[in-house]
Amino acid sequence: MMFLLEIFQDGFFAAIAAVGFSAIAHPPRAAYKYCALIAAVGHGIRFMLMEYGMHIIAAAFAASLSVGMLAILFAPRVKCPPETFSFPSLLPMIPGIYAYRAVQALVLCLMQSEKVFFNHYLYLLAYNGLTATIIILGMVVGVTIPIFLFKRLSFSATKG
Amino acid sequence: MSGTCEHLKEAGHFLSGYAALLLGCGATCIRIEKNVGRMARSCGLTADLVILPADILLTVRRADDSHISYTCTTGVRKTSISFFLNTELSKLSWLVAEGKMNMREAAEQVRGIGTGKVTDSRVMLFLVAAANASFCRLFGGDGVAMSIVFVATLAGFLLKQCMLADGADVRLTTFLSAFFAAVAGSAGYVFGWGTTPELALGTSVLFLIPGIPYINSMSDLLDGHYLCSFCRFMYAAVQTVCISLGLCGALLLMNLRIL
Amino acid sequence: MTHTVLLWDATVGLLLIIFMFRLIQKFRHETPDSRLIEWERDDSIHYEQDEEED
Repeated sequence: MMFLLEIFQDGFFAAIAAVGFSAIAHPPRAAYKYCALIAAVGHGIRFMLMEYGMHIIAAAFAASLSVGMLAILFAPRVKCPPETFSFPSLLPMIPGIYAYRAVQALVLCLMQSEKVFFNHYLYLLAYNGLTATIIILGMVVGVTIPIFLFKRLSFSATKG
Repeated sequence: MSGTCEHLKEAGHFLSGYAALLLGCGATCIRIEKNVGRMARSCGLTADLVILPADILLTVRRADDSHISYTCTTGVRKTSISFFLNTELSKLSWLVAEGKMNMREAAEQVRGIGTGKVTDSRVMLFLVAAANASFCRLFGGDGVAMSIVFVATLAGFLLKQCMLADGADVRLTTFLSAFFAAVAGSAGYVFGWGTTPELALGTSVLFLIPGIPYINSMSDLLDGHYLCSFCRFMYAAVQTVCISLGLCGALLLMNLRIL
Repeated sequence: MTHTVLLWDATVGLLLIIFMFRLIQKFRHETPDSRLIEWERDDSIHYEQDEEED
């Protein structure tokens, strides 16, 4: 029960995050609720998979796959390209913390003269940078695979 | 012959302008190719598109006679990312492809679209602040951290809106927004509020991360548009560097270490 | 007040000053001079009283 509540809470906040960040990209008004729903489902799936011990990269890939499929499902209803929903729904899953930790580590790396500290920050740079890049790549591959699998459906969503 | 040339010229100008607008509003390269190709085919033409980071190079020729062609270049006018514009332009391409509209009418329609019904800036400010506060919660922040992030995001995003409206450089805007948002977000450390001040500080700048350019860049990479992919990735990477510099500046000023 | 708190106050204060300055600038751009003059010469009841006395 607690676990279900945690998933629901995770999905709820992911929905708010998706709606807010999608507002920056000026989506059509009708797209907001679908952004929220898809982000909630995607983030909930990622949360669940990580709770079961899956690595963040694999979990993010699986979650983005579900996001892509749902986006293609809902796109014809609103007559929008699927990326209108899928890209903003991925935003709560973007590893921003890894990305800026990588750059922070780079800056701190350059400020060190001692080998021990330099190696420490170099390790942090490599770890955070690689993790961030591969998570983003995995997520985009995951969200793009359905678009390529169902090409006709994806590119005819805006057909009147 | 002159009729054919005029037709090609008109089609070339419309299609390259259309493609440039679509690229400027943040559409993926594959969508641009599909939309342009669809419209060209419906008029008995073939369109060869070269998508460069700042320009569109388009050659149109008749499908049944490839000897006569017309090439034109259109510069990309960078607008903010707009899925609304993307949607409207994609719908338009179907109207042209199905013969419900000719290219001249479509060109008039494109002029009238603009950026369309944009979300009110105050509503957007509130939504982004709420989104970033939710982000803080997703990382495990407590209620106090969420409130700090909400206020810090309001300050940072408002500054960003003001500076961009005044035409300031995007990189400087990002740096200063990140700096001020991070300083505001360090209230947890400064005043000893909450149990997760490091999350408040770390999340306070995440609203500036250019998520959609990163995603677009990877999408273009998967489709083989390596030049555009690299361009979009570098734009996003430069923004991330500016955010990190702003955050580092705030950490240095407040004398904090979170690594 | 500690050094850090002072720095925080100064930075946030600077940001608020920037916002206030911009708000004033926006107000001055949106309000044309003629409207400002009208406010200064706003008809008040004193003018009506003067007319009644006459």
